[in-house]
Amino acid sequence: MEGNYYPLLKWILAAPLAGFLLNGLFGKKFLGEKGGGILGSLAILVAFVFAALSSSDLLNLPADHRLLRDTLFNWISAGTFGVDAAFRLDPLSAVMALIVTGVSFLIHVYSAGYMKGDAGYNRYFAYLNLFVFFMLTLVLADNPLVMFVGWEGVGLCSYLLIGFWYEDPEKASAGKKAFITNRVGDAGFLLGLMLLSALLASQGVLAMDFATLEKNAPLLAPVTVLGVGAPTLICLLLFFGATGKSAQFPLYVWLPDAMAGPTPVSALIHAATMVTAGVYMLARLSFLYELAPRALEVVMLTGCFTAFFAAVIALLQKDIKKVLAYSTVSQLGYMFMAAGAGAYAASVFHLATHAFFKALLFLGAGSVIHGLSGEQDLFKMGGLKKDMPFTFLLVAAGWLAIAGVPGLSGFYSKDLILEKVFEHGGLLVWGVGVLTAGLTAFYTTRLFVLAFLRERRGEKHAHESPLSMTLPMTALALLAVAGGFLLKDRLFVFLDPAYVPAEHTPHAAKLMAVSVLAGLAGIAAAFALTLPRAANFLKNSMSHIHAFVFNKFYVDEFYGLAVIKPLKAFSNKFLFHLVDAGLIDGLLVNGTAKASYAAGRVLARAQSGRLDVYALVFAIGVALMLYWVI
Amino acid sequence: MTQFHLLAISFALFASAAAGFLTCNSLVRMLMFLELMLNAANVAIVALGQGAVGHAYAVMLFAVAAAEAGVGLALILSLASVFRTLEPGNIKELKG
Repeated sequence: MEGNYYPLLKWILAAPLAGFLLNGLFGKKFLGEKGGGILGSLAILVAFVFAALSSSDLLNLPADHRLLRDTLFNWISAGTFGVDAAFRLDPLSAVMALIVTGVSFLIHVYSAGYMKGDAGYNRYFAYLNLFVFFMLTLVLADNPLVMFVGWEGVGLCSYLLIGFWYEDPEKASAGKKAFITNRVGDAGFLLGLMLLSALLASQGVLAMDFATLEKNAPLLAPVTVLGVGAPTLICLLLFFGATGKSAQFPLYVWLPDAMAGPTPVSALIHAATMVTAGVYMLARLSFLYELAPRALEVVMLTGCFTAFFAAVIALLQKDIKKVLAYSTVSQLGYMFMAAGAGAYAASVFHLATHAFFKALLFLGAGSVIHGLSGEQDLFKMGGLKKDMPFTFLLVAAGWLAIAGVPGLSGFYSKDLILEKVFEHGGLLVWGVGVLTAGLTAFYTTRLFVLAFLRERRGEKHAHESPLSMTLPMTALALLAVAGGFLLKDRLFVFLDPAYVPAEHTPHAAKLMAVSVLAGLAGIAAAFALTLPRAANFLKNSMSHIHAFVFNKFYVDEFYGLAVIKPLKAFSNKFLFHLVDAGLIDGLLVNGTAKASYAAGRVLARAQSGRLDVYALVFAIGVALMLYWVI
Repeated sequence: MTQFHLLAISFALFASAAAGFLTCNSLVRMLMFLELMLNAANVAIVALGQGAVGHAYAVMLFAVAAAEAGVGLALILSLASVFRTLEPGNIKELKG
């Protein structure tokens, strides 16, 4: 087995798990609010330190031997087929582990302030630690099966945290929606895994770890299933799983509703880490996707469409968190665009910068909501610059980073993606990408202007958030500003030792100029169009389009009519009334009871109670037996 | 007398006792026909048995028959005191 044995890896996972158990089992009784918050944050800090130590050990290895492994036990052993519960640290998972633990730690600290006084304080930190544990399982997994455990686990934590305030039926049902939508995607993921392992086993490959898969994936190239190449089919099924987890069209609908959870959760799970699992999975299995150019094309087009579609919806949202949610869907679209163009390093780069600035924006939104005691409507904010100066400055950093202002992190990653897409995807996809960049700049500027500039439109009193909230935001703001510049070449060399930094197309400068212009145009347009007169004029002159976009293109309603209603009718009429009530209850359960009762009634008639009849029957019986014997 | 004759007697005795058992209308008579059937079986055992072994079995069966008659009579007595009848057709407590 290649790769060095490295026993520290399991302790990266153990720390958040211990935090979860302690906070979940003893939190409320023994730790209380303060102890629970400190313990939860400390567990993640320990995980971060371990991850950093392991990563630095990884860096000290020669560039083409950077792989550390840790096997816990033999998990599945079926004949000659075997799967270990094993973890691996290579450049890709090291980057992910550092992002996950780092951003998580900051958000844990922030949560300690944000959730102060909540009745479920310890439960919250227990869930959050459990989430980090599963996310690290997903990221550090050495084979797709362990990855799937993490994949399902983060889905579970997402559900638990979206429905965290379960007393509110709307929030509880948002959690259910996320869970069920993810199940649809997970079915695809699972089918892909089964197909992969079955086809590899038929080629004589009986292990599932990534190194073995990578070595043997070319064996699958000539295999066809149902007339489609096996790699293409597997990749498409796995990508369908990714559209669920990473909120891509057509399964993105759960993410905007997921904003029902506490805002730090939106920042951590539904912006920075969990939703990027699909992108990570694509990068992890890139060797498989290289064999399936058609699947990559689908990935790129889906990403491109989602990026544009979600950005358009984000333009008109009123709820500050909904704007950011659609923005997340849109940015994830960018990452898939890059992955579809074969630029996995670029998509991971955007994943990292997005984790910084989107987590920052969400935490900023949380700070605003906290300061306004629960107000989320952008049109009731405004003028917060005066009341919340720190939050104002920090969100400004996030705003400029996502809008693609040169020098900040979003600029580098987005520019690189657009460049790669131009090379591999052609003019149309690139054009849509640039347009989306303009829209991104527009809606974030709109959010910023409506919340912090202009005059107040609501009566609620605003106050600045405590230090425990602004300090983590400051750290994220520094990363959002400088992260792109610091990471850009180092990250690529780390992820791909063969990478040459100055690899730019001849058009690079022109492409960059166009996308920067698009961003600046978006910012300028947003400043102009958020003026009340302009906004009203547009709203009235294009009321049909406004309503159409404002209602998110009626996708939720369409799903309601096309999927949920028939499914409910089918469940009610066929599954409930016919199968459950009719077949199982009526025929099988009550039917058996009724049949034996009726048989008893019939047989009871034979018991006449008359001794002479019994004697006669007995004699006849004996005579028959005699006849049979002789 | 050959074995055949003995078995013929046994058969005739058993058949007439069984017929009586099925047709009579009193519990005491049924018990008496029962004893007859048992004796018919006893005759068959002596006929088929090899000398002393058959005889020994026959003696044991006498003892069993005597015990059975005692238990049977006791049952009939208590039945008679409860139901005030000895006709089997009138006792229908076993009806399902």
